[in-house]
Amino acid sequence: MKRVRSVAIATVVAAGLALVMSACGGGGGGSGGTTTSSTSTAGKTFPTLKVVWGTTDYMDPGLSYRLESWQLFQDTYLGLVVKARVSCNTDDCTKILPGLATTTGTVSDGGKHYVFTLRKGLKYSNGQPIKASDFPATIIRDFKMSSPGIGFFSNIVGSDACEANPPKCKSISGIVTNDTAGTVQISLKEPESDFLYVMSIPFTSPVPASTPQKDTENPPPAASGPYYIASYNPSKSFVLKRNPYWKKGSIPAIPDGNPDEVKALMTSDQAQSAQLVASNQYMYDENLLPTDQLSHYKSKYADQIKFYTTPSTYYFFMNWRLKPFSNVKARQAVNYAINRQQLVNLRGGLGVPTENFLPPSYPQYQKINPYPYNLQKAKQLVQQSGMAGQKVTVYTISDVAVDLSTGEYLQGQLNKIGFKASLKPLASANYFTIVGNQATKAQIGFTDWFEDYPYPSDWFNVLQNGENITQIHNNNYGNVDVDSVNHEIDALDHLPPNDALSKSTNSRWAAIDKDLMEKYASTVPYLNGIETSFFSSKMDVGCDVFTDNFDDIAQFCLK
Amino acid sequence: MIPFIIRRLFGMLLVLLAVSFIVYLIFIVIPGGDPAIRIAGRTATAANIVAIKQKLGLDQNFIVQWWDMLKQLFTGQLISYYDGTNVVQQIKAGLPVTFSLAVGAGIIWLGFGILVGTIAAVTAGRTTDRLITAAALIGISMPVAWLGLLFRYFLSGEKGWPALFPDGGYVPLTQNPAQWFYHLLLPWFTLAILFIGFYGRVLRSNVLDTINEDFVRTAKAKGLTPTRILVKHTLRASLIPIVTLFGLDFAAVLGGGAIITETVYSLHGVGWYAAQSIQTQDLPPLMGVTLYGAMFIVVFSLLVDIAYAFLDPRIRLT
Amino acid sequence: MATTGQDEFTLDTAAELAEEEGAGKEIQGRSPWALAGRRLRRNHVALAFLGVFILVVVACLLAPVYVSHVSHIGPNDTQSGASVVINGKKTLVISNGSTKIVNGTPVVTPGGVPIGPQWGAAGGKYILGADELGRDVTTRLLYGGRNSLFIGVTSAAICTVLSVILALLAGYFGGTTDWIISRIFDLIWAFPVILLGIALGTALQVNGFHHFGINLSGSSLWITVAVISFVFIPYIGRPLRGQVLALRNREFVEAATAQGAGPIRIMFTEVLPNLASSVLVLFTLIIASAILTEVGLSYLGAGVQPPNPSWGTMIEEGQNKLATAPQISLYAGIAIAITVLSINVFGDGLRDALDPRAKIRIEH
Repeated sequence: MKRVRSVAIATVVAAGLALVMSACGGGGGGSGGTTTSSTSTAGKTFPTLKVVWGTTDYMDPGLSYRLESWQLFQDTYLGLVVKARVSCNTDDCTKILPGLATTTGTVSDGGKHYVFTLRKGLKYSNGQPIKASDFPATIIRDFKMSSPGIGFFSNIVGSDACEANPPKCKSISGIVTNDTAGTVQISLKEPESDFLYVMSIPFTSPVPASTPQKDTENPPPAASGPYYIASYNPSKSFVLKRNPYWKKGSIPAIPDGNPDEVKALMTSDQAQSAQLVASNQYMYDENLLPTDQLSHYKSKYADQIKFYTTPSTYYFFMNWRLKPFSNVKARQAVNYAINRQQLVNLRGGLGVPTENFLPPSYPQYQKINPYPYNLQKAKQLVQQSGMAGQKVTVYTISDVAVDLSTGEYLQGQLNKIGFKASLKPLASANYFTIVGNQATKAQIGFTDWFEDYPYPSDWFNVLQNGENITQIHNNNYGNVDVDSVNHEIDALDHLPPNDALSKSTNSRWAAIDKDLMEKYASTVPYLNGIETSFFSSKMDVGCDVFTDNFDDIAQFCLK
Repeated sequence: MIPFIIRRLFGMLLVLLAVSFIVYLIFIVIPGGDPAIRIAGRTATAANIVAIKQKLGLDQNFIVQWWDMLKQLFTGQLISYYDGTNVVQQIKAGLPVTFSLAVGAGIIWLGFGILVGTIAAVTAGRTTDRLITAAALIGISMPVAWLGLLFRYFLSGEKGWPALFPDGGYVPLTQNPAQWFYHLLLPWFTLAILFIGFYGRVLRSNVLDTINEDFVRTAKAKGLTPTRILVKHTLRASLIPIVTLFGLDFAAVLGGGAIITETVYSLHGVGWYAAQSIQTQDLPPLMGVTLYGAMFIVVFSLLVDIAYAFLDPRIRLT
Repeated sequence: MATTGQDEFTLDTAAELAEEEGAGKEIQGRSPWALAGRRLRRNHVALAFLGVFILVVVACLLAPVYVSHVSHIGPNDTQSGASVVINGKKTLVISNGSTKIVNGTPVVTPGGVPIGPQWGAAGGKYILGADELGRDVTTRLLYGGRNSLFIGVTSAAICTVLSVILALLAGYFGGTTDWIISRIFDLIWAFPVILLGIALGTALQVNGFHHFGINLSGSSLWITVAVISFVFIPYIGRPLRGQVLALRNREFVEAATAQGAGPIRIMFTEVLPNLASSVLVLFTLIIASAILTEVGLSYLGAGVQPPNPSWGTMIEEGQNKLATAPQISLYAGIAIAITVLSINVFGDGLRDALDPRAKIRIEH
């Protein structure tokens, strides 16, 4: 998904993601070790948690594709399976655990068939029982709303018919449920390596079948988790309350939650939200600290701020279908021309330079450094490519200051190496729609990616697979298309279940990362993001659990 | 009087219709491109684009679309393209903020403007007058955005100095009157400085003109005290143009014209809403906000003309 | 309103001047323009501020000279990784910030702070400091001034010309023409000014303007010029129309008509010269409003587009860097205030010189 204030369009028209995540074998970031829930912070309840939050796109789990909403969904809309709610520093935060289902699924038919059994007696926040048939109803609802998540379902048998004609879709043949037994059976066209992860993201979290099949935010749909969203006022406020039908301890992986109620003020004004927390009017700032005052906050409130690495990469896309970046030398030139340290400086230091596409926390990450900053070399390559003097329009976001400066930096560097670069800033609300439209003919521009789940297929298949290029709402902005790489990505997605995280598989993913950069200079990755969490002096920072993309507010506690 | 009002009301209606049509032209016709793709936002397929076109009526001729949008606005059913919220409700939500800003600032600028203008006129030519005039000229020469930023920076703790004032934001009156007032002080003054300068000068000029009028000379000849002349005769006449100016300016601010002040101080009023909608090129809210603002302007224009006729017996309404 | 700078009220009419020159001397006939010029010359404050304005304009026009001889850094010349020598010491233009991962925890060193005003300590570079991309603030201020002044003056000029034409037509012909033009004025007037400006500016910025054979890219300054000219038409048009209506019924117009002069001739040779002083004053004062409007529009992103500098965009760029780099917004604001103040003071002086009774007022 994309970051703050950016419209996220990520329909993955995946041509078969394949492989099952094995329940054992660790995975992703942390240092292995202890598993399951974080009941260590339980029993520290308190009445009200007042927070300042960033603005978001939707508060409907079927539609929202933003961190700001997903951070709330982890405690409100649970999937059949869930990701562990533990801190990535100390535990395996990428582990998949049973959620609404009793296990992480019984797999058969070489990874093509899954059976989940719902726990008994679970109810939504409106009192309705959670039924097995709610799951396909939710998927169908996603199709009818043209959710950005529908691309994740393309491997389910029978989903094509639903996608082709949403108004007429009443059922999906590959999903068979039995409400009395509480079973959900899912048949896939091919084995899929990240399927359990897909089952843990909000697009697949069941909501009552009676939920209207359109954007429901007033209030949002009934919740299955320990909290429900009682009210939501777009860009203004929201309130979370305890789910009256949640049974404490009913799902080991999910904490019951410390605050009785969460009241949030939403604002995109970073300076204002930081000051509200500094003055103790609010207890937690979800927004990034204003980079301009980073020194000041860091020195004055050192023990109230936590910094976190995130599985995110900021990069520039380059359009392979248009001059000048149809030429590999031109693309390599851009990579040499970017001083990544300077881009970190634009963020006040909140970033780690990178030349990899995958984030460092992945086991499939192997650090490469093929393009150390070298303006001379860049100029030579531009000359050699025959593209010197070409007009280039740099696309970037206009209303996020850092993104705008980043675009201006890129433009400046392109001019220095021999192109004639101009800038086209667009409002963030429209940016990704415009850039993702082939008709725009965007040659180069800013973009970023925060993982949906911790597996390389979420990166390469969505963003750099030539077979997933679309006319509109394209996510492969660069139209990156290398046959051998496409095939390797597909192959790695079709491996048998237990091979998903083997050493050789990890090496193969790492090889894709390396080749795309060294051989093809497919994109210009430049940094991995650092997030800040700012707490008021009333909060015990030790309770903070950062579950790889965001904090878990249910586990916050007072001093 | 009545026929005049009726004719004016009719004219107002025409103006509002024309305003809405122009807003429509600006956002649909000028940028070109396919609005459905822009609006589609999250959907993927061509089929969905077609569905959106049908749902929003974008496949119809644009006059029909415009008329539909107007109908939806007046029945309170106009929905934003961008986030599906109800435009009329969003405008209503912004009203308390904009009204608070407008009324407070209005009282300050009218009050100080009159005070400052009167003093300047009475001490005309002397140092006090020159100082006031200089201050007024400086006041109207400063960009509002910059002024607001400087205030926030120096007085609201951004520089690291202790915060004398809150750093933007709005607290509802019903929630906490003291905080409501405190949060609005800086925005009120930022907005008012520009107007105080202008009104001060206009009033000063009017008073000086009026002093030379015959009726004032007569009053002097009759032996009235200077203060009485000033207050009862001179000011009354000089204030008339001020009243009309104030009517229009106040209408503009009420109508969401204080976009910059609301943006700089993160006050989520109607002006702020307008600025957001323009960023996202979201036509329905823009239509709503523009008509809302235009309505205030034309209504207050009418009120001001009527008031002028009452106050100045020399004026006849035609 | 009498201006500051005059010692006492004097209308400087020919009669008073004659009195001054002493009894018995022949009263010299002086044209209104000569009298106006005299009054203006005696208004030292207004002239001083005119001088300030001219200085600002000249400085901005000389921006390229500043770049080639003083700062050696162009307005869009990003210098992110560069160093300068300050008092003999080599310093980074932008401080380095970083995040190092120590035992799995990020340790952040804040950075990215551009150097502040050097006032000559670094040679001619960064006299007023750098911005977050290492660009020279003074250079951008000067080039930005070019853009802001160009927009301000040109839009004021276009607006004035259009308004004069419309006012003449409306006031002279009356009837339906007047009705139509007055409704046009009303229509533009009814739009909240800044909203109309932003709406037009944003809509045109997306794809530019490609109709009627005119081709403007979205980042063209002419779009902002057109928007501002359009928006202020009623502000000049209405007062002028009022004056034309009054003038129309005067004897000299009747006389001209009786002599067989056509309407166009009358409008331009009889009516227009009588409007000249109002036009001049209004033009001057609209320049001030136009510059402030450009600042507002650029601040909201609907005016000059990045990376091109203008005083308004610089205020916007610097707004969330006030703690570490106040120079970006601060000096742009000061430049605007000084320029607009100069225009206002001079405009006042001009108005007093041309019509001491100051019957002209801009409707707000």
